[in-house]
Amino acid sequence: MSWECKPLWTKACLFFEKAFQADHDDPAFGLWCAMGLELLARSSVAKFSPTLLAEPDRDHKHLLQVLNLSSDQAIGKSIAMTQVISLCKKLIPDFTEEQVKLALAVIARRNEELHSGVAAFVEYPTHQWRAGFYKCCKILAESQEESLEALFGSQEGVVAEGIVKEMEEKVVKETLSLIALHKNAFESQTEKDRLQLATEAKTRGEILSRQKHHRVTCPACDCVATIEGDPYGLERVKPTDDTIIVRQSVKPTKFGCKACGLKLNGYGALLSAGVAEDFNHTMTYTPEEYYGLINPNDESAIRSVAEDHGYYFEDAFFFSND
Amino acid sequence: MSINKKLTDYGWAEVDEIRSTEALLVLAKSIGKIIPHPDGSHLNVVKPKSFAKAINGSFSNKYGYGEFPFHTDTAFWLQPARYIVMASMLASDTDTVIIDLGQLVNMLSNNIQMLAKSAIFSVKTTQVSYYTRAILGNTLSDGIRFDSCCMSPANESARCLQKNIIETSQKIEPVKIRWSGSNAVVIDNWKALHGRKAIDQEFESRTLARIYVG
Repeated sequence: MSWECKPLWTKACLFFEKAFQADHDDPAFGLWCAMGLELLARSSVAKFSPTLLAEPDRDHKHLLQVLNLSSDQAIGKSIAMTQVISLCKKLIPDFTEEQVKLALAVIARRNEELHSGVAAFVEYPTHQWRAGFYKCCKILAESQEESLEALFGSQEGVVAEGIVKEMEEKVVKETLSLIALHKNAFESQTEKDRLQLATEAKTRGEILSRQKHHRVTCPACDCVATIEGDPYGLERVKPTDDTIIVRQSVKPTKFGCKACGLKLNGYGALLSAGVAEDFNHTMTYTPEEYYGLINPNDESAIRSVAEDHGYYFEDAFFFSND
Repeated sequence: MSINKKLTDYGWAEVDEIRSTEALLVLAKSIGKIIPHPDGSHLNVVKPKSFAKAINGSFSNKYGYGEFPFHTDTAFWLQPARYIVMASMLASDTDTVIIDLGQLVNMLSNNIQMLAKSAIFSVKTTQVSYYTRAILGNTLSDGIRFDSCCMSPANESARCLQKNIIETSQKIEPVKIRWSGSNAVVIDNWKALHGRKAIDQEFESRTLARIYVG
């Protein structure tokens, strides 16, 4: 069983080559692309460690297979694709919710194509997913210090890069137009209303900043707005005398302004609007909360944990609701 | 000229006065870190085998006592051993033959060199099977993995590359290493391909000591 990064990457290249041999509006193109994406995502995870791909089990059966330490001839079981995509999001900062949605949609079609009689890629035409798919592949390839050209070959690689660039330019154009629209609408209000909205936005920003949002200045109305996003990377844990502070980097993916109503989605749009500030989630826990400690005098908490672990108290069997 | 300089310039270097396996191990350690064999030993002994006695899929299984085509040792490893250090403690009439990758690449057209970047092979042995590229680096000149026994072309580029490498290598006059009983050879396994002349099994007791170096 080869779960190493390089063989997975090479097989992904081979599958994409098969995809590009088909017409781009042929359902076979979609199917080979979906299967290529699966291998590409797995190779991206394997770049961190191939052990992450092993299905967890009590005896480490599959992990031992990955490490070539198993005498068992059975084929090791790898984690499901949904989990691979979720790992990509956790491990690769540029792989945001936008890419997760696209990847899961393509993988769902692949499953439908292979597990049912539905013509899944006929119902999901190429133009609906191609640009986002290429962006997704670009991010996964670059996370392995590779490129779209290395993945798709020189001809298709150049075309794909062009499509991604155009998509990004389209996002910039649409974002700037949206900002202009909200700016005009805000400025058309009376000074009194604008002041009122700015005050409300400031208060709301203050509240949201304590709920995993980060305050920024709205590019349309200059009021206090907020961004939120997906945490990624290592949690930085700092114990103090009576609390434990956990910090984690966040890649912003959503913007909202209470004052002018501007809303933006996706890192690309936030970047175009100049509000894609990196920030951190800071969570403060008591040691009991962080380590899941139980007060030995709290009988109901002890019962609850015991029951979670399969222990049933005798009195539970004498329960009656009559 | 130093061994390292010869390896850089030609992809191989012959060393005299190697009369024991201990001396061969010292030579190997001077090149780099020895890669142990799966049984833990640093050195293994290679003897000619008949078709029947050889491991399925090996060169002996395919060619028996016949000529071995040019290949990369350990081509089935995820990263083939960088150097091979070999010696025969007894004189042998069966030469080891070597061709330099640089010479091979120069004889391949630019088109084939470009094609090499997209060539994908499947590697299959009794223990592993996976997909890999023939080039070890960014271009064919950086290094090659090539073994027609365990590597099969998986796409059209690979089929074309394999055909061209086989045809071109036959046009090159190889370097012949004659085993005197006191010489050794170090081969840059990424930058040279090596093979073996056919063995006259009636008289030949060719026994090579081989060490892989990373």
